[in-house]
Amino acid sequence: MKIFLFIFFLPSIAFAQNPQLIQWFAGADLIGTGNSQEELSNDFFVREFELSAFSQIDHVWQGSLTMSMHKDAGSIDQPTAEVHEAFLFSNQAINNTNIKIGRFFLGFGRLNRFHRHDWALSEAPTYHEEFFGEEAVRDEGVEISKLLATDFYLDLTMGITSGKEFVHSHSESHSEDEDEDHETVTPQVPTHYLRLASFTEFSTQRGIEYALNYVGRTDNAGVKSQYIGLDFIYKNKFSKFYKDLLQLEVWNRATEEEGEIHNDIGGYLYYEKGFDQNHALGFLVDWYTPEGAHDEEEEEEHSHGFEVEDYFTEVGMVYSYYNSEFMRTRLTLSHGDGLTIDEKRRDNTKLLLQMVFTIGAHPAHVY
Amino acid sequence: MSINTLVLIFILTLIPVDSFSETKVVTTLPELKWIAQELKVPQLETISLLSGSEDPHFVDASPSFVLKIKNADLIIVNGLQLEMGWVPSAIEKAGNSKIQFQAKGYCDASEYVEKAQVTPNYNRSMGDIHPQGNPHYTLSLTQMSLAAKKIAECLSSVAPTYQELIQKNLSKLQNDFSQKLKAQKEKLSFLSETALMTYHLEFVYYLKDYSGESKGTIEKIPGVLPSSSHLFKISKLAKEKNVKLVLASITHPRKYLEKFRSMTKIPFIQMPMHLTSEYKSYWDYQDALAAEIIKNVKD
Repeated sequence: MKIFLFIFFLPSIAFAQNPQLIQWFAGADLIGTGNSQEELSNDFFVREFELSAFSQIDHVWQGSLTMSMHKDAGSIDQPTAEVHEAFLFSNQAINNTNIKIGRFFLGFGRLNRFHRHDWALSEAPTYHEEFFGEEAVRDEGVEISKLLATDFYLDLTMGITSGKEFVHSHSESHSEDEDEDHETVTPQVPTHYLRLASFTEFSTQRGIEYALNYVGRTDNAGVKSQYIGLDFIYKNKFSKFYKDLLQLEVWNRATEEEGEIHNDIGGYLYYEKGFDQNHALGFLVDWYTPEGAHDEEEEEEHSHGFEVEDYFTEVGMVYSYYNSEFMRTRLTLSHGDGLTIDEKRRDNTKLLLQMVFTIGAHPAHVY
Repeated sequence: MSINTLVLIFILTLIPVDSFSETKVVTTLPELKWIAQELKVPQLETISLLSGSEDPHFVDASPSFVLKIKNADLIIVNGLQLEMGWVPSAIEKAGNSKIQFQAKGYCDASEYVEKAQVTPNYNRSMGDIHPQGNPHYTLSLTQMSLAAKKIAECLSSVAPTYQELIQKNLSKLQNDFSQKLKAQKEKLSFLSETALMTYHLEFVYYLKDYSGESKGTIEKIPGVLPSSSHLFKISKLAKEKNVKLVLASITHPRKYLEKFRSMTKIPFIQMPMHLTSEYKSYWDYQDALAAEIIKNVKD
């Protein structure tokens, strides 16, 4: 918390010296939930608060520091500040290459590369939550992204990170038994990943980016996980809004433990139709299918503890009101159906309100 | 796949295979490309990232832009933060040290432009304001001539062998701008006494060339769709000021312009704000814009 307070008061010091020196960004994500299942919590809360500073360090390196506070629905615990990202970045050390060193969101897939307030979705799809956590896998390591010397767009991203942290749960990571959580213990093989992305342009405002992803890791208990996924995004932009936005990810996780392999498949599809710079209507399909049917006892013994026993699907309609470039309000009505171990989301109809706003200078994203 | 395989793949990607004999110049806007071409530098490859039909405020940093600038020797931008939402991130991703901000290969064409509407005390409640000045100077012949001076300097910097030739061609081009302005002033002299309105703030420099000015904007706040109450107020004002025409971009929402027209009976025109492929040259584009204004005001 001391670090958080220091960073919070730093702007006045920095701006007094040179207003151009550091760029600041802050954002918050407000969530309201209503569920048809009585045992699920209905809540309205600040899910996330983020404070970020970034700047050129010298002629080669930039620095980016982000602190955040998260809260889960129904939680009465006071959220704790944590280091979201803290990394060095350079696009000048090696030609046509971006390098990241430090703690960062791992550069694979679509959702995993972006902070949640920038997502087209309000919540992580089920498979994403199971595979990569509520927001994204973040870890300490090195990532290199290289534009290959081809006549067409081909971008190769590779990274190796400690693997001490993989599926990040905000509620779990601050629990007292954190040290006993196998996900935070040094793994046998660190997290390593690769993303090969290409792009097809139809016009300057319309194109498809598609990528093949691989993520691997063997945890401390010897459970080997390999993830292979495809991510795809189609954008058709007109002036300030997307006439059409189609986003899709499909992932397979192969988990090998004591010679036995489980394959779990999941994905989502999101389509949004923009009507003008304020209004858009979206359609969401989210599905997750762990391999085969397992009985509860087996699931509870499984080191990865699948929450979804057999299958889970969710279909939703999303209305987005883009108040401005820096604020949006999103209402999602969805129905989830599936066999879950803890029955958390079984046959549940949910209304989700999300409000996101940002102040300051947000670093721009590539596509 | 093992970590060793990943390391091997990475090492292979570092082997440089790119080689270019030409000087590669990338511009954000097609009219800036046109200027670079008019300076007639030998062995110059020029590419514009935009086609001219987009709203350059709100373009995404497309991977195709990254591909085009990854080996560029020079990038020429409009500046005044017009492209701030996408050019910095495209440059960052491209990782081309030659065109980084403030490097020799980064050219801000607005440097000598006589900036209008500079707003130092800016905050977001004012909408899509550009604190360093209105960025829509490429519609103005006067300001384009000043932009050409900066572009010539930038080209001389990356192709010093042709410095004299560039200077000679710049003099000719600036003379052409003066001649064109003189001819346009004869055709558009009525603009100094004709009440016009605009949807956004794109025509500030253009109207200034002809001693004209907008009596108001359909937008209440730049970048924000007009409310019904604002449309009512601005319609009343337009009638009081005897407004003859509303000027707008093809990227502006037509339904608000139509609503305004139905309330006031004042016509509007929607033109591309940049040089698109339907025009043979920037001169042709200026002629088309003038012809459209003349047709709607005088007919």
